[in-house]
Amino acid sequence: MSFTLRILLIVFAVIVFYFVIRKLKKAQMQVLDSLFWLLFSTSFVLLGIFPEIAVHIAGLLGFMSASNFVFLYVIAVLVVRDFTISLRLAKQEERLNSLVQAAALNWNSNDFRSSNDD
Amino acid sequence: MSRENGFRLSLRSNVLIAIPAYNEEECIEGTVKELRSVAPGFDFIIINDGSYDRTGEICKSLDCKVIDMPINCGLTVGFQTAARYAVDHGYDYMIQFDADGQHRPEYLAALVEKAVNTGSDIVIGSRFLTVRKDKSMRMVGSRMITVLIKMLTGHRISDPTSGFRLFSRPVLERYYYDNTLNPEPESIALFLKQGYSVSEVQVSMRERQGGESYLNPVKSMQYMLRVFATLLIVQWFR
Repeated sequence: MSFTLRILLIVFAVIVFYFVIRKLKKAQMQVLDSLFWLLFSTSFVLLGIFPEIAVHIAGLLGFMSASNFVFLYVIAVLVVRDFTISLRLAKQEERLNSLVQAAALNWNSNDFRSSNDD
Repeated sequence: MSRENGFRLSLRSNVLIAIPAYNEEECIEGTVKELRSVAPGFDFIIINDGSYDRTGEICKSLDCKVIDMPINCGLTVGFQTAARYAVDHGYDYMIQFDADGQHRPEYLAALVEKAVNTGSDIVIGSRFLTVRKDKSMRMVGSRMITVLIKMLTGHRISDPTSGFRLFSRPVLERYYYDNTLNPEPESIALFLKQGYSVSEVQVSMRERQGGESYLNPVKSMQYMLRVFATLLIVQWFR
């Protein structure tokens, strides 16, 4: 694993930490989401400081190099994350629709009454 | 004696009992009837959290005050809604009360008395103030939260996961303006850290009187994970 990649991992981790903590302070992020990002960036730091971890696992899985394992690890975690996010988004859209419907029916209920009376 | 009764009645009218209910058709009628017979004089409001069973109908037939949430939002949002209602309508205290019959209305007066006599901001109806916890998984979780809160705030909360709690107006106003606060142990710990006072009253609870609990094993794990993460990591940054 190249020295540049190790430094980059740690730099990225610091940047992620900074933004997550900022969002937490402003109460703009949910606790479980922040936990994911904090743990994910902690794993970057670990991989950056102890490249032996990546070298060892890459050897076990038969990868050409440790950095290939690091790339796959990051991509795999983010793909899973993306999948769960798209499920949550679909649920939000559904909830928003039923909320709008409830509000619309509520706001217009007086009009329905009066037009029926006419 | 009449004077004392008068005092008690005027006190009761400052208290709102908030009852979040999600698909509680089996229990809600019993809960309401018991409240009316055992603790008359207390105002109560049911937050019907998008139930798709007969909960709403039953409340209407019993002539209760109900806030109907248009979709299911979960306990926290229901609670925050009730807190806003309590503040807007000038109540001094709000008590969180389960719809499923676990909580006994006999203890409502004790919670209010404790708050008035000690000036506490939060009073928790605790199952374990004078009674020891059993050794089930649930209680292991409860113990861990108690220990963690003690370490972080220096205060011992014997029953942090009890859902039977009184909140005074200053706390309710915090809930009004900050919707990251929830009616859960991590927020209690945050209030303790910020100098609010929390006390406890020994109560006994029953098993839920029908219907189904929303806490399955996966949700319980998520709950514990969230409480621990908030207590250990997130609150440092607040």
